[in-house]
Amino acid sequence: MKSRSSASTLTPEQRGLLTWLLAVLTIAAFALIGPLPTWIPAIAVGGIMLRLLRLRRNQGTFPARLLISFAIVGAAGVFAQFHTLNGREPGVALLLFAGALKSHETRSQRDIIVLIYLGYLLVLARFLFDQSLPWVAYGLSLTGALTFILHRLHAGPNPPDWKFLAKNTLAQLTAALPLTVLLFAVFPRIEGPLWGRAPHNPAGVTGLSNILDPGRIARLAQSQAVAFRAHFAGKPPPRADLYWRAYVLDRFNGYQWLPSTHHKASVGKLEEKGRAWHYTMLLQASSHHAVPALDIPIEPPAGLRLMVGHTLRAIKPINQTVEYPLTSILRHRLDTKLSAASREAALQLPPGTAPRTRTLALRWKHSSNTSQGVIERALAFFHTQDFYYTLNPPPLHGDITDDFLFDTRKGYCEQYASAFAVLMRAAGVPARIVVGYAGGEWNPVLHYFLVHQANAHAWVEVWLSGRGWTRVDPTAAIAKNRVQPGAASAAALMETNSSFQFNGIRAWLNQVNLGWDSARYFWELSIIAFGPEQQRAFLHSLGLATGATIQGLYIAAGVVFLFVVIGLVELFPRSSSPTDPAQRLYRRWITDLGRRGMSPAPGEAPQDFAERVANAWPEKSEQARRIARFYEKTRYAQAQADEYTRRLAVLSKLVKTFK
Amino acid sequence: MAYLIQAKVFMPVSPLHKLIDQLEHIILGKQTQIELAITCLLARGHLLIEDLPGVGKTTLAHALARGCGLEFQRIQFTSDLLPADVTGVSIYDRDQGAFRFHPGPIFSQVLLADEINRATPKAQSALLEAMEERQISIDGQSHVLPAPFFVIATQNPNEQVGTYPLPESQLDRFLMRIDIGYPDPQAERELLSGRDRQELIKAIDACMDVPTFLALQEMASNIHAAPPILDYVQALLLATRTSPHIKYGLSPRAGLGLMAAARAMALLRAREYLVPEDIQAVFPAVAGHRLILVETETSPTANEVHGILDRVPIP
Repeated sequence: MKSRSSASTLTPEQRGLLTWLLAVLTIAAFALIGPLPTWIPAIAVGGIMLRLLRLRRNQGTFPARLLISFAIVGAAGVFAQFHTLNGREPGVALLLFAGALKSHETRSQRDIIVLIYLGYLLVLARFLFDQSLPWVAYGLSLTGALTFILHRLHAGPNPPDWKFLAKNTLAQLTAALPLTVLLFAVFPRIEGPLWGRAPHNPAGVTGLSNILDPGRIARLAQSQAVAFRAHFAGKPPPRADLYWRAYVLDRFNGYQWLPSTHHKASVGKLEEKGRAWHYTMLLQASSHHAVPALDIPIEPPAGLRLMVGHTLRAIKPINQTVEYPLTSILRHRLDTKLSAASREAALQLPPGTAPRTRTLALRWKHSSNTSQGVIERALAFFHTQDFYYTLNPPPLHGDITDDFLFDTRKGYCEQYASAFAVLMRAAGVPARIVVGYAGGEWNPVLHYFLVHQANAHAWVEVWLSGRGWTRVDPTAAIAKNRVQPGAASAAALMETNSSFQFNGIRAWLNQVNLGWDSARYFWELSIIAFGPEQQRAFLHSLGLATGATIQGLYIAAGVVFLFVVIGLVELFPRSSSPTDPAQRLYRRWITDLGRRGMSPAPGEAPQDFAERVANAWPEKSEQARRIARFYEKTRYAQAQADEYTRRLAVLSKLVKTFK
Repeated sequence: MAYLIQAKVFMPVSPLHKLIDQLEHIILGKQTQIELAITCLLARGHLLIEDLPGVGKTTLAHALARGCGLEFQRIQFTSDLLPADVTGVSIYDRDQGAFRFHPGPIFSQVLLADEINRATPKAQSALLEAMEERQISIDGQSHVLPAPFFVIATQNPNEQVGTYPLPESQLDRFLMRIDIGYPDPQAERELLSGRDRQELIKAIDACMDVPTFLALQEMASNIHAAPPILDYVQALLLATRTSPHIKYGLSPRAGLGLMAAARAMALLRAREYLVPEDIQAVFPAVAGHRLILVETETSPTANEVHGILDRVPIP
């Protein structure tokens, strides 16, 4: 068989529509650049662009053999990248290639329709990676565009004007709404991640981890990704207390802080003091188990448990946005009695590490008698010595604690917390690291704190006899004038009084920000966080039983109900209000007469009807005939605008005075 | 502008009303049929009058031609009528040594084809072809028919003995089909006591000349049809095509005919724009003979036509 490009048999209209469709597909391919390795969307965009170019130049499609070879090469490339063709990323990649190749195989209307359907799938595929509000807007607009193209395609060579088509498109999308709501509310939720493994987190923004080493939190500092939102029904807690604890680390290996392997480490014995704060934690997906909670959480809800150091852990990894009702107390005493094992763990230092630090700490220990004194000496040391707070500290060499404390003296919260904890341990004060978040922006409208990944923080807890574990934040001890500009914004986020401000352009920007985050909060809370638990609760609140089979039955019943409604609507077409002003006046006259028991037949012409009215009310016969005549003249005759207005006025007067 | 048109319409319409007046004196109590017949001519259409013998078909046709001031010829169709009897023949002229064409009765402005369904299909088609093309070809030569050219055909209902019913395709050539029906008792009484119809026809004055008549035709075709009127016509056409009682609905040509006839009716009613009443007035006459009902349907076509008018809402 001779290899040739087959001639295009598309009509000019279809070619024009194909151009638009290819533009939409290009956008859909671009949108997949984030979640997929860049080469895959890039090749797809190139392929679609090539088709656009060839379409402009009136060139035909490629022969099937060539397309098949491309398909095989593409699939092989995907396999080489992911080592599988299964799963979310490879699947979407294959779909993307299929779309790009199909665009080169558009010879008929049917091909264009197939391409439109592929477009729908590609738009949908983006949601597998991110269901946040901007992507909802993206999905809606592209779905609208694809549906519009579909409508336009079916309208044939003499289409109605675009407004009509747009209205139809909108009507069709709106008609899909009831079914969407039904499926959303009732379709059984799949527990756990859809793809059998943790979701892919782009750009290494993994949130907090249970390891602390230099640079780990600084990397998060510039991330504007939302970590969680905490909703307080009443008055929020004071800003100085906004420390959200996630991990407690007490094992130091000279470089990293790691979670405890100390098996006897208990959750901690809590002596409660002060009021309990109840709030709702709306947590973004992180693929970890940790649930940050206000210092200190108590009474974990279902699905969570308390771990060492009174931190919360989810039983299943948090692979989607979830919502937990939490309770915390701010004034407390934790572990007023420390067991020997725990004490040992909290004083552990790897032998031979940080000799200069140990020397300094021992000097402090001898000169001040109490643990309290040592802490004050250490904080003063950070405040008075030449310590800088920066996001880009110089690399540490040798023993990192010594190098930081005596040589570089530039660091982010993790360096300060780590060094402080080492100093305490060396001075014989039990100490451990707490990793979590500090601060948060208060949304006064919807009453929640918005906490970003940039709010990630590390601080120290020291054990004081009689007071138990006590929070010390060495970062706060650094002189304010030594906070470097790069870190200023990050530091500002931690500042307890940072909030939405209300003056000038900044106030306006804050307002916009606030509104936007409120919308996102609503979206996350009511749509994304609507998981299996929430669904069960919702259905139970309606008095409905739950379970996959019965929910399937609900959907079937709902679909049948929708069809019945559609059937009834079609069966009894409602009389829509006419748009023509003369017709409206005439209808009004008919309605008035209808109340007196006189209505025209559907096909009864105005003058015939007027004649009947004239017979029924002889005293009104002349006016009835004039109404019919003027109505017909206004509606059916040609007239200049002013003449038309005059006739309409006469008709209006006639109708209104017909009593 | 609107008043100008109105003024232009009103003046020449008066001869039409005079014509209606005169015809009403001859065909008694048949105002609707007279109006439809005049409308048909104004719309440049051919007219088929169908009814029993003796109800005044021929009289109406004859009187109409005279009243419009048009030249009139009549052919009585019989079963032995030949096409040449209609169109004319070429006869060898010995003096000139060539064939010379002797035009038949079709070369007139109004041709009354009486009892068209009594002739054989061959003779019928000779006439019907001329109606469509407004010219005839004999021995390779085209002869243009005069203008205006109308055929008013009459036929007896097909149930009568000795008739060749016109096929549907040829019925379509007629813009309208009307029936006359028996006169009501009062009109019949007047008829019986009155003078001979033939004499009355001879007494008819021509109400207009040919240029006036052509001008009226031109005027009719310029009557304004507003979009809702076009919507209405389309709805009616659609109704004939979707009705379960009708096998074949109206063709686009029928739709054009409906518009032309309605425009002429509007002119006759001295209006420069179409109203739904115009459409309704001509619809039964234009649609009736073109609709083919399904075989199982027993009620007459007219019932279905009026049913459609009752059903289809006026926009």
